[in-house]
Amino acid sequence: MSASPVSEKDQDALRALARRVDPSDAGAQNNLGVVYFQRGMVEEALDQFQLAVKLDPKMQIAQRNLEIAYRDTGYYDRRITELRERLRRAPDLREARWELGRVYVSLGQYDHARDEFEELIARHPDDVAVLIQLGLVEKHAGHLEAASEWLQRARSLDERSGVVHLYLGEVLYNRGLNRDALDSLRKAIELNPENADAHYEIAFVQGDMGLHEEARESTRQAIQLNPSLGRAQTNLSLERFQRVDGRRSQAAGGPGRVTRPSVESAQPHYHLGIAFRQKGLFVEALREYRVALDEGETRELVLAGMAEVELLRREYEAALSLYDRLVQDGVEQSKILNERGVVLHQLGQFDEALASYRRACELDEGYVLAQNNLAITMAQLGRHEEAAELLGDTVRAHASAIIPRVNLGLLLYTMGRHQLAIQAFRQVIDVHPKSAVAWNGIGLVLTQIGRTEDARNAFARAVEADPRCAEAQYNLSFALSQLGDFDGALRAVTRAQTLDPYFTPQKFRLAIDLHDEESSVEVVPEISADVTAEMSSQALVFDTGLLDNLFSELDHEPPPAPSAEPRDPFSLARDYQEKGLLELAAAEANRVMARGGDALDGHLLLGHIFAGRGLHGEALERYRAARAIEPERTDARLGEIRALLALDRGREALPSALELSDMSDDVNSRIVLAEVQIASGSPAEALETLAAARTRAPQRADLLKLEGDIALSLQNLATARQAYESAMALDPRFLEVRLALANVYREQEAWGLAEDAYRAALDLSPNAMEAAVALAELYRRDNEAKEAVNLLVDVLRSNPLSLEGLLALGHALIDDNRLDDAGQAFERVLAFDDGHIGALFFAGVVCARQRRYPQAVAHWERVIAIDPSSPFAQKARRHARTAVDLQHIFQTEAA
Amino acid sequence: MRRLLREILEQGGYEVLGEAATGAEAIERYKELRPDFVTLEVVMPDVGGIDAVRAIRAFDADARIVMCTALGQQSLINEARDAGAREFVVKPFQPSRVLEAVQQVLE
Repeated sequence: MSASPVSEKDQDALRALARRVDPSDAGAQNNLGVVYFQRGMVEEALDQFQLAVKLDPKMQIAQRNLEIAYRDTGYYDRRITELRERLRRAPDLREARWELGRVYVSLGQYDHARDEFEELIARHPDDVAVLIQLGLVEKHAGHLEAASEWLQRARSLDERSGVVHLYLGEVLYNRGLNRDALDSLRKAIELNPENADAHYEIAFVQGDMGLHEEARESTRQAIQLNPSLGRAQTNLSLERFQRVDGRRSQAAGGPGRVTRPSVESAQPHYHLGIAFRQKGLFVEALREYRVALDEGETRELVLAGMAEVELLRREYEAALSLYDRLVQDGVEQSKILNERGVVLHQLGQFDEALASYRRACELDEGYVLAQNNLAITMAQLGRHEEAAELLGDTVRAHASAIIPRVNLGLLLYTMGRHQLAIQAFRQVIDVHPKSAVAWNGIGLVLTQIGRTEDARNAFARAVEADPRCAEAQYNLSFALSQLGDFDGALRAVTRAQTLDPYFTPQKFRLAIDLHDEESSVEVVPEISADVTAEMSSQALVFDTGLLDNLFSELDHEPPPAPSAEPRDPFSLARDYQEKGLLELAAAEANRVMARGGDALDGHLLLGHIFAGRGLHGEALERYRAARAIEPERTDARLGEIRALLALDRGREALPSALELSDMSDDVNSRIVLAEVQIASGSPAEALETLAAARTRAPQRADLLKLEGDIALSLQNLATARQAYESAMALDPRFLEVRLALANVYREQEAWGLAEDAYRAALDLSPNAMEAAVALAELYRRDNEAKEAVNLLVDVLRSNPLSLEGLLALGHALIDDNRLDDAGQAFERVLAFDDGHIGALFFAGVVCARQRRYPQAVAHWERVIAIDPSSPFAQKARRHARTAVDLQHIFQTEAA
Repeated sequence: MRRLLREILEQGGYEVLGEAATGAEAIERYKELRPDFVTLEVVMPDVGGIDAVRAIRAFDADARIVMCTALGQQSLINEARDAGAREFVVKPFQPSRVLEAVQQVLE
């Protein structure tokens, strides 16, 4: 990887871009990761790849990118080591084990992932989130029956979870059990009608069962709910960038349409320019393209990209100048010539536009978009027959081409050929039943032939398909007013005016190709679709079958079923959140908000989700956005304060926490105030706050624990002991309190009480290494080394890699004078961590006791070299000097 | 499925030269059109997907074939691989996965 340092400005630009990337689009997240990686922002890249894999666990390219980034950076080696170490110290730590399992899943190491999740389920048998993870792990590993079993167990525990039904449905489908899969996915949809993934997957099941119409409708609904499901894009791969390193100067192009830049060409600024353009950040895109030119990236690609941006921002003169430069440079590509034609067209230079489109068509006879644009220009020049003929040829040759078909319908309508126009629009609707422009076109024709009621229904269908279609809103208002429904007309026209203050007649559409995204954008020339009386009088003869069929469809549109009770639009997102699938939860919450879901609820939910992912900065933004909508909302304020605490900005939260505490009787607001006071360096005030809180909630052990912790931080052992003892009385199974209390007893030299408390902690959690080590220490203090050894051996049996436990065992074995065994215990620690200075020091002690002085000195010298200022190093210096003397004495004696 | 694949491939900048409803038809269409690559379902009426792979590879040893399948048909996947299929797309798939697979077989 060749990464150049990234300027602060570039980093800010990239982060701004990241915020605008569709949070539910795994491909976009992956591609952003590649851009980060190319810029040397490895941590950010890893986050993006991980997010992509979590959003779409089947996305192999993101999986490979993650593995490459992992291999190149060793990031996960470190993360896995950290998590394993945390789990060695506290095997019950659910959060760490969960993350470790998820990391293994991300890396495709399913056996390891299974081990972690099985360990979790053994400790929490009813944890639905873990059961889902086990199901997914087995599914990824290809063990479909095992996956079904785990997911069926999850379903039996949480029958109302759409997420469980979704995953189970997919596994059943993979097993070929289509009927069961269908039932499961239907249940998922029944529970969450807006579950895009369930609609998408049920389409596959329906397709395989021969239910093609249903499948098509399901796909359509899925894409409507989550447009990224309909977006086919080639995602970027680090593998390819690495493979072709050094080939960046190759020129692309030559005649032909396909000028899509190869992802192999590793042109970071160019790709970043595209990414900015895709997000509508045109100025940033142009800036990036200019850097690409300076950096020597392929000139013609970059100039074409710049021209595209100028076209999109309607800077036609600038765009034309760039296209002309490309043409002068000898670039003769149909795509470039088509876009140049669009620019000329917009500048009113119709003859030049025609020539440019024609040349594009000559270079590529199958280029639908140029043919479409050529026809529109002809129509604009009054050559309707020629235009209709060309569009007719185009749609016959390319049955799935939509834009030319819509234009053909509109052209035929303007020519008064109403039946043919209806046929053209109808064919669009066959492919895209929710095409607003096609329904609007049908409405126009029906209005023209006096079928106003049917026209009204057609316009209503258009509005339903796309509520932002201003022309359909205007047309609906006209139809309603003609039918005497003036209130309805007023409502429609008001909506229309909010979208576009001026009446917009239906327009023709010019089409262009855009790199790496949906293949066309509409650029609208000002062509009137007004119909002359002469034209409309020509064709009032209709195929009544065609119309009847259309009208019956218009009449029988089922009204939306009224729901029995108001449904929470965020229920699916909450379901994902509960199951620990936080990335999917965030993506779904964003989609609901984009569909008009309540912004306050959405921001709050996203705040909780980001906080759950440890992204406290993001969480803070969301809570603040929620408070901007409803400043007094308690949960938003609580979230904001907790996020500030997590960001070590507790002092900043103090005014808000005080205000909240005054406003609310809720105990949680007192607890959070106490936490803020601690973070602000006022523990005494925190204690007062907690004492006040305790009067309101005397049964809450966590309050007492916090009180004990604060007292401990103030070295007030008596108060701490009192608080912990009270907490224990309320909740004898509170392990952390039991341990904290035992530590206080030990500090107070109440040895008997301490021993009992550690034993009680071990009864609660037999693998609690901290308790075992502390108790072993007490045994050693009482010269009961054998007891200590037995205890530690027992605990290490279930947790053999605990360095802390092995170290304590080594000490106990020294006390028991079993020096060889002690040496082995320390060597075992060193096998896992060869720089562990505690183990090195005591290994030296064992060697010295065995009179192996050179070895002892070697161990101690390493201690001194690793951390010269540590207490171990100071002791090691003293011991080493003694050992050298002793070595000398023994050598002399031997002589 | 064919419609979905067509839409995905066209969005990805590929031209779909033809479609076939059965394995036998797929073989005939391949011979007639000689496409750069072909996508096949493992389970198809008439001649099954694996036999279609064999027939196509017998006609054109360099044929690039992407199979679409559900995981449950794993034994069939192995058979298809032995017959000469180069890439597999597991259903239900995301559009970008299809493009990835096609790019792989074209490389």
